[in-house]
Amino acid sequence: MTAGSMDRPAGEVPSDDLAVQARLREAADDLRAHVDERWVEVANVVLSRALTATRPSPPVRAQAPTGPVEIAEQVLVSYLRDSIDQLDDCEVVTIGIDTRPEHGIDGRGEVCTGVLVALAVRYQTVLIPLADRVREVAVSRLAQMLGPVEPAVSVSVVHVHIADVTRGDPKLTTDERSR
Amino acid sequence: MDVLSPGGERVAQRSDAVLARRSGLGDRVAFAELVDRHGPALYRYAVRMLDGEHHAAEDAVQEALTKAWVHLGAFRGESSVKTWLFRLVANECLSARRRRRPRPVDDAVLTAIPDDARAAPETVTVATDLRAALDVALVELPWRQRASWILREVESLSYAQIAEVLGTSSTVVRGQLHRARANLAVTMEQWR
Repeated sequence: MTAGSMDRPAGEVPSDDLAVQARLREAADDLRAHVDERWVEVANVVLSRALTATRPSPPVRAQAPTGPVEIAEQVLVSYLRDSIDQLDDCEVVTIGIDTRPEHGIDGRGEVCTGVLVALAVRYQTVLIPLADRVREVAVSRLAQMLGPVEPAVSVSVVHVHIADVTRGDPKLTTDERSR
Repeated sequence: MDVLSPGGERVAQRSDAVLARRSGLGDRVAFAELVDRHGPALYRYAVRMLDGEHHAAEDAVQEALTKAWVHLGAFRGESSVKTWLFRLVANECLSARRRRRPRPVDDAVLTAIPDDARAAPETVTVATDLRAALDVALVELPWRQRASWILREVESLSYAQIAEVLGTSSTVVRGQLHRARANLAVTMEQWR
C-alpha cells in the first residue's frame, strides 16, 4: 500500500499500486528466467563433490580368485539396477539385499542370502516371464560380482515383487504422473 | 541436458520422481539431471537468502546436494522432489545465517550519513536493472517473508509446499506472503 491510499474509495485499486505490482511481477519473472553466472561456473564442481559422498552401506562377502573380499551393498544394488535396467517395460523401484552374519575360517562377515527386486511395470505386461528374466539377469550379475560364494547364488534367492503398474513407460514416469 | 542412458532413453524426459528413484539406486546420470534441472533455482534461492553472498550460497547448495545424494535412497516421495531439495537448501541457509558472528566495525561506518549523500532511487535505477533493484529490496525483508515470497512468486511453489520447505503452516505462509508483498511494494514504489 502506498502513501495516500487512505484517501481513495474502498475497493478502488490505485493505478500507482497496480503499476508497482506489475513492476514486481516483471521483476519476479526476470529473476525466474535468470541463471546466476556463478552457478554456471560451479555447477559441475558442486555435482562432482556431491557424488563423492559415500552412502552408508554394509559390506557383503564375495570370493575373488585371490581370496575373500567385501563389496558394499550399495555397489551390488547399483550394478543390479544397471543390469535390470536393460529390460524393457519395467523399472526397478527398490532392491533389497538380505544378508546374514557368518563366521568363516578367515573371520566374520555378512553373506548374501537373498535379493528382493521391486519393480514398476507397464500396464498389460505379462508378469511371469518378465519376473523370470529379472531373476536370470540378477543371478548372472550377482554371480559375476560375488564369485563362487557359499551359499551359492541361484534364482531361488531372487524374489521379484511388482510394486507398481504404470500406463506409460515406467522408465520415464511414475504412476501418479501417467494418470 | 540431453543425456542418453545406457538403455537409450532420454534422461531429460524422465519425471523428477523417476530420477529420484534411480538416483537412490545409485544412478549418477539421473542425479546429474536432477541437479541440472533444479540447481539454478536452488542456487538462486540460496544467494537471495544469504544476502547475495555467493560463496556462502555455493557452500549451502553443495552441502544440500551432498545430503540429497546420500539420502535419496531413503526418499519415499511423500513430498515432491523439488520441495524436498528446497527444504534441504533452506535448512542449510538457515544454519549458515545462524553461524554468522557479529563482526566488529569501524566507528566511521556508524557515523550518520547526511540525507543528501544517499543515492536517490532514480539515480540507482539508472545504473542497475530491475532484478538488481529487486535483490536490494529482498535483502530488506525479514527472513521468512523473503523466503515465502521467493518460493511463491519466483519458484511457483504452492502454500502447502512452502510451508513444508520452511517447516511452518500454510496459514503462516499466507501471512508472511501478504506482508512481504506489501513491504516489497513500498520499496519498489521508490524504483519506478
